[in-house]
Amino acid sequence: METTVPQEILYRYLAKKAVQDLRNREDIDIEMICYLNTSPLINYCRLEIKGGDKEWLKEIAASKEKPLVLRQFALSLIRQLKDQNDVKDFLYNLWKTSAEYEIKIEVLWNLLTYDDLSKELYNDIRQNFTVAEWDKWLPLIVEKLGGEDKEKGQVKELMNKFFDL
Amino acid sequence: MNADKLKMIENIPELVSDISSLPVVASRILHLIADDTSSLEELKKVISLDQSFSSRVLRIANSAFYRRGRSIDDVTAAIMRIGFTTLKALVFATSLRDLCQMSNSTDRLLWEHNTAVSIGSTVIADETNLIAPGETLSYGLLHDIGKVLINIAMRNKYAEVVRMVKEQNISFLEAEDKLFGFNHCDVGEYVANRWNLPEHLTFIIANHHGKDLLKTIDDSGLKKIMFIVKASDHLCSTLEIGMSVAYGNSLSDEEWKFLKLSGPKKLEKVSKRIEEEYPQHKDFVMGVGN
Repeated sequence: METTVPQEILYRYLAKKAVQDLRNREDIDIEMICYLNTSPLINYCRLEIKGGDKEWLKEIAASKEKPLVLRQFALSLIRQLKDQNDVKDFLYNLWKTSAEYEIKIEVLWNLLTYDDLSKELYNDIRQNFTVAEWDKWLPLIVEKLGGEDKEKGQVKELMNKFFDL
Repeated sequence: MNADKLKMIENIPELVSDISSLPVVASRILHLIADDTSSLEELKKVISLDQSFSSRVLRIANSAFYRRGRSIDDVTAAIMRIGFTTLKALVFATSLRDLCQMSNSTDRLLWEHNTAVSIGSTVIADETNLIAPGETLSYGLLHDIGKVLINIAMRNKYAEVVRMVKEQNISFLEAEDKLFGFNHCDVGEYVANRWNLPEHLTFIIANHHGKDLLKTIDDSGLKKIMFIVKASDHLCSTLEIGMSVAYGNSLSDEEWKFLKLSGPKKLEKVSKRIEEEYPQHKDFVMGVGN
């Protein structure tokens, strides 16, 4: 007899297994990480994160040697611990020191969950997303928002046409 | 608009550029988009109540790039046409740029007045049952888009308009005509046409200070929206929300009757609702305390 496993149980299982593997410093397939880092799975993964996970999450997120998608995933997960002061400090520091837009956008997404960002930081955000470099960051923003390749080109065209970017 | 005015307006270099949002609204939008727990409705509400984002969205939805069939004057319909991911990306990217735009007290007062007129229009529509409340939002929000544009293009000179209005007790139209040779209705009409905004919206932007509108407007839907916006404009000025200086745009008895708002009690009720609802909406768009 064929039985169907409810999707939520599958999601929970996948999330638990992935976070456990990361805790144990085991490798996870890159394609799987990309999948885990999409909605709604990412929400299940975040629920598996406990206070004691922050050190390895920080380590992965800040590592220049780890694959980019893994670092992005770690930054998505660390949002679960955003209320811990050292996590906020870590994000501020990573914002200042990271050079790749892929990482900067993930950090920005986390920073924007805080209501008390300083004017200096807003100014810094603006200076990092300049018109001169929009070709690099705009497609990443579209991707982050769940847009397809076609939409990346479309948004660029609209920004160019209407907002002089 | 006569040819001389048109020529003068065409010569203002920055006139048809984008309208930036206030930095505080830009940061609110960034937070909403990045926050997984915020809803699409919340984002739509901020876009619908901000003159900058609304005009951007309507402009794009009515451009040759997207325009199919009828023109759109409603932000929700515009969002459907553009698509939510594209819209969010556009709004996010423009907000990043708006974060540190210079803004002054005139920008803020214009924003407050236009938002209040927008809220007031929905309250009047609701109280009078003349049209569906949601239909008036963008009309109230964008009726004074000409003032916003002149203030951006001629920053220092617009403060002079405000000074003249206050000191000489004249209307904005008179002060603008004296100083520039054209006024915010002329500029609004010019830009609304350039942006392909719908006919009714363009008409209201161009003619909300016009005379004898009750007699000269034939379209009953347009007439209702026009007087709802005018009444809201008047009440918000009376309530001293935003630009609340010497206002010469009160409605005649006949016009109040047309709106079914001729009795003082009804007007009092509408004014009270605007006073209550405007701060709530403002806090929602700007974040509490801004």
